Amino acid sequence: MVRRSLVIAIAARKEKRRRLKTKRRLVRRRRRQTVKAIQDSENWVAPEINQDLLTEILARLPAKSVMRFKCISKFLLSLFSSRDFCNRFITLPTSQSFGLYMSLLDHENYSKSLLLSSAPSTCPSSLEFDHDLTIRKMRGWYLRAVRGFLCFTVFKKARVYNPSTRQLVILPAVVESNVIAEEDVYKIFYFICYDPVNDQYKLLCSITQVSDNMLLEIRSELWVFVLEAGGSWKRVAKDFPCHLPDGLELNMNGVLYYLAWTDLHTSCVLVRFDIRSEELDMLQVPRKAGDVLTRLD
Amino acid sequence: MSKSEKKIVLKSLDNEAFEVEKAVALQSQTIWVMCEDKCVGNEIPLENVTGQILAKVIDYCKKHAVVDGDGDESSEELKNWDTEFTKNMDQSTLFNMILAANYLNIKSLLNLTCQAVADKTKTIDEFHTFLNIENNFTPEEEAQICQENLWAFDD
Repeated sequence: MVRRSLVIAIAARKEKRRRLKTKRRLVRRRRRQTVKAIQDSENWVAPEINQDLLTEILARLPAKSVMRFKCISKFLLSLFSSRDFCNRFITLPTSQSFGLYMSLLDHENYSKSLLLSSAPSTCPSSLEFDHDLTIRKMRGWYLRAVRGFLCFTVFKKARVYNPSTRQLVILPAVVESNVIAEEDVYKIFYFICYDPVNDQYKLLCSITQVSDNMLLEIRSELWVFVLEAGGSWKRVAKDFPCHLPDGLELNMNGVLYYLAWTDLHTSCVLVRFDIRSEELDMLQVPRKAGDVLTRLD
Repeated sequence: MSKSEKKIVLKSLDNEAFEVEKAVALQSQTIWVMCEDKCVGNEIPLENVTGQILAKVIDYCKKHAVVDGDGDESSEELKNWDTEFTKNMDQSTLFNMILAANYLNIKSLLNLTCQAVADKTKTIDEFHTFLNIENNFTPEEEAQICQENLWAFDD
């Protein structure tokens, strides 16, 4: 009995599937007819291609078209939002999403600061810039870019901006920081970096306080934020020597490097942050006799 | 190496035979692997490619083959040739070229043809004519997603 009802259920499902199929075929046929009307070449039907090839084609569209085509179907919406697609999009040598970005800061009035981007079609050597009006009143400090994301600091908070989708995320402040709690004046730096192994974006935040007594003591903390839903600041490397980062950084092969000072006059170091393991180490920057280091303000 | 060893015969789905230099055919990773494994003789049957498409693929491979003493063409020139090559192809040829490039595993040709389709897909109408993808959004959902990305619609 059970088997019989099962057989009936399967038959019913098959029938339903068959009906759905004919319906789909009808819809497809109707689409084909309209398509045909538009086409010059006769008998043209877009062949069914697998998702890999479809991704290959669509990843070559300009970012704007991708955003526009999102409303075509649920499938495309989820494809365009998938990590696979985004990674393909960003790694293609022909990717048009990479422009040259430049931020101009007005120290007197931050709201006058601008973000400029090179027009996608122009060659960077011609230096033609457009106002990027997509992000008005950017007021950003220390613009950093990683794989199509821009990171900058506004009122001591980090903002991450995706110029392709025009999405802006404002990260929460590091509320648990002792330096922030205890000091009025401190310096804050955010570095955005990418871990290719786990396919994760992270922000490294350095909060530094430089005492103004004669000893020139530096006190610093390092925090990490993984850019994902529900992310939060996490203190790392508590015993790492205190240092004050310079603005210069380099992101390479899963490692973030930046220059820093362990005291204000003499010791310039290179800090190496392993993005995946979140471990840090530093090495002394080699110097020749007679090298003059610029003093930090 | 004797003359016959340098040549290879490719046979299309519709039994059209093409005799080409080995250096030309070996740009296809698929053919390269077949030859490497010695699993085929001098004649290679390609069951997924029609003669018409195969002729075009061979044209491309001939242009891009690096043969001793005559691979001096500048990259600029090659680029222009590539542009001309895909410029007048209709959609069906382009798609079949993509499928053939994928099957034969010729990376640069796959790149070129995919880019050509992407370049010809600018509007939503063009998208529908190129790619067979059903719209399963309700009009309200569609309007909402368009609304969220309104900036992408102005030129």
